[in-house]
Amino acid sequence: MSFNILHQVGHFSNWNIDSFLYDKCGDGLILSPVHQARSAVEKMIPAVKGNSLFDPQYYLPNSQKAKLSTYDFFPEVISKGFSTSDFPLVALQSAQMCVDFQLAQRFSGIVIPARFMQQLTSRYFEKQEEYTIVPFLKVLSNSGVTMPIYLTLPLTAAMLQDEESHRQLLNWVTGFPEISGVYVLVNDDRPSKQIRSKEFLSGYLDFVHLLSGADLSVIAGHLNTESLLFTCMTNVSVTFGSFENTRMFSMDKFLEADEERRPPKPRIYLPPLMNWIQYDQALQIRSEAPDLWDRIYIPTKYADEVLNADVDPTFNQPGLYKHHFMCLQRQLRSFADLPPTDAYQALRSALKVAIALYADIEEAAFDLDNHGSGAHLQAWLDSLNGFYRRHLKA
Amino acid sequence: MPIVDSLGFRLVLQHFFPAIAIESNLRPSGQRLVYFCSFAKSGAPASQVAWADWGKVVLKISEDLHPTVIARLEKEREILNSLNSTYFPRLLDHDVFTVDPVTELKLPNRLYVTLEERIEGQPLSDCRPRFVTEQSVGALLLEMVRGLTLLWDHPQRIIHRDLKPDNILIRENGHPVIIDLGIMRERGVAGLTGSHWQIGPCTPAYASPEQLKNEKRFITYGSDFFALGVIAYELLSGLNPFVESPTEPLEVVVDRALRFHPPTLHEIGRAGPEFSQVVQRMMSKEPYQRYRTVRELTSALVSLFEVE
Repeated sequence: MSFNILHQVGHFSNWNIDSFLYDKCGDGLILSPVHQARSAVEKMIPAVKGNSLFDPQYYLPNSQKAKLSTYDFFPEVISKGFSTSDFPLVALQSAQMCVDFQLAQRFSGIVIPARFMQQLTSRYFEKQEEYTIVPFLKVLSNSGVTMPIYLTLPLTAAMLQDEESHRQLLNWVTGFPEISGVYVLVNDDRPSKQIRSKEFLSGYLDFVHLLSGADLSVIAGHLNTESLLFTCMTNVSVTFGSFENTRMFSMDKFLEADEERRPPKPRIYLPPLMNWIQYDQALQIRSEAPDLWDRIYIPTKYADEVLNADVDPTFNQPGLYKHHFMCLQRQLRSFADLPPTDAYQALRSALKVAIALYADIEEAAFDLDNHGSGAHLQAWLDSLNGFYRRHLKA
Repeated sequence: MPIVDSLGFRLVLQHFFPAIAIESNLRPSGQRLVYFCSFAKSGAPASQVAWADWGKVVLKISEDLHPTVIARLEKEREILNSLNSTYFPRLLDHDVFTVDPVTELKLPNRLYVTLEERIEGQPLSDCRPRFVTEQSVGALLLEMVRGLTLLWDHPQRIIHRDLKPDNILIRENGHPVIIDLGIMRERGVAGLTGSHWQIGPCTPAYASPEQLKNEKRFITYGSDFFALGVIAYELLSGLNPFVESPTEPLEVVVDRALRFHPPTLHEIGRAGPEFSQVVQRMMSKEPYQRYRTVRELTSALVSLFEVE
C-alpha cells in the first residue's frame, strides 16, 4: 500500500521532467499528448518514461489540437474525422495501435482511455465499453500484458455528489478484473480555483476511498492542492502540475483556445495557507509584515531566486512552479508517511493553522484576492472530519 | 409456457430416442423437464447405438426457445465441454426437434434436448450434515471457486447465476460438481433469458441483489460470489439467511435479500471471525463491496483453509 505523487504534465513538460530528475520531485509523470507531440514523447529518456504513464486523452475524440493529431491512433485521426456512429468500426484498430505505442515506449503501465461525458446515463457505460474498454481489454488480453492496467474514469462533480451515481460507478468499475487501477478525473465547473464545496469534496474523498478499498490503485488526476486531503488514504496516487489546466480537469484544453494567449497572473504557493496567492500580494506581505511572511512562506531555492530577482516572474518561467512541486511534495509526504488516522489528525491541525493564519493576514490588513483567500478551508476541514467519521474512526 | 411430463410426451420422446429407458423425472414441470435415463443397444437407430455405453445419463428438455437463444446455448455448451473438467458434467449430445417423428407435423414448440453425463453423487441440499464445520465448508468453498474459475476466467467470462445447494452435486469422494448452467451468462452480452422482467432469472434465496434488481450491467462473477457466500452461511448456520419459511411469498424473500443484513456467522457462534468476515464480504449487497477478483477471494480462502 503506497501513496505516490505524479506530475500532471502540461505546457513546458521539461519543467516537470527537470523537477522529477533533478529535484527528485514526484514518483513519475502522467504524459499529455495534447501538450506533447509524439516525437517529443518518443525522444524522452527511459528513466522518465519508465516511471511514467501515458494518458491517451480520448476525452474529446474530435479534438483538432495539433499535437494530438501527431498520434495516428487518436480517434479524430484514425477515423479521418471522428463520428460516434463510425468509430466502433475502428475502435479495435485504435486500441491496438495505442497499446502498441504504450508498450513500445515502455511506460510503467497501460492507460485505457475514455471519452468525457457530461451525464451518467446507461449510455455512459455502454459507450465507454464500446469505444475503448472492450477493444482495449481484448488487445491487452491478446498481448499477454502483465504490467498494471489503468482505466480512465472521467467524471463530473455532480456524479460524485450523488449516492446512486457512486454506487453505479463503483459497481461498474469493479466489474473489470483485468484492470489494476483507475485514473480518475473530475470536471468541476466552479468559479474558484480551489474547491469550496463540501459536498463535492466529501463525495470525491469517499469515492476514491471506496475504489481503493476494492483493491484498486487509484490515481486522482488533475488535482490542485486538495491533494493534501487524499494523504489519509492508502493505495492512492495524487498529481501536481504547473499551469492551472493541469490542476483542474476541463475540456477547454482540448479546444483550439489556448491559455498561452491569456497568461495567468503569477501566484506563489504558500504551504501553511494550503493555497496559492497572487505574487504581488505576497511581495506586499513580505515587505510590510516580515514576521507574518516567515510564518506563511517555506523557502526553496527556486522561490528565493524569484523573490530576490529584480523583475517580476512571468508565466513562462518555471521558478514558482518548481517551488510548488518542491513544497507540495514535502507537505504531502509529511502527512502521507503517517498512518491514516495520524495523517487525519495532522491534516486537521494544519487546516486549523491555515485558518488562523488567514485570520492573522486579515488582521494585518491584507485583503487577498478571491482565489488567494482562505474561503476553501472550512469546507476542506468539514469534508476531512466527515471522512474521518465515516471511514477512519474505530 | 411450461412443459409437462405426461405419457403423451414420453411417447414423443420414445420416437426421438427408440432405445430410451426413463428411470425417473426430476422436474415434473417448469421451464425444463429433466429425466434420469439410459439407452439400450437393441432397438436403437444406428446413430444412437453407441449411446448405451454412456450408462446412466441426464436428459434435459427445454421448449420454445428462440433460435438465437438455442444458438447461444449450443455455443456455451461447447465452451462447457471444452473445459473437460471434473467440476462439470460432460455434455454428451444435444439436438433440436421441430417435427413430430410420427405425424411428421411441425411441433407446436421446438424442443431443445441435451444429454449430460450423470454424476454419481448427492445434491448438496441432501448431504448438509457432511458440511457443518468451518473447515469442511471452507474446503468446499475453495473447491467451488476453483471449479467456477474455469467459467469466470474463460475468455467469454461465463457467470453461472444459479448457484444453490440443489445445483451442486457432491461425489462420493466429497468433490463438488456444478450442474444446471441453464441461465449462465456471458459478461457484457445481452441476456438470453429476456430483459423485460423486474427480477432477473435466478433463485431468489441465493441470488445477488443485482440479479434480483435485474441490473444486468453489474452481474459479474461477483454475483456468483454472493451465492457462494449464502451457501456457506446456510451450511454453517443451518438456515438460509433470507428465508424464514418455505411457504412465504417470493416477494418477501426478495425484499429480505435486498435489504436484510443477517448477523455474521461469528456473531451467531458458527464461525471464527476470519471466515465469518470472508463470508460477510462475499454476501455484501453491493458488488463493489465484495472481492473484486477471483485471485483475491481464492487467496483469502487459501490463507484460511489450505496449508501450503
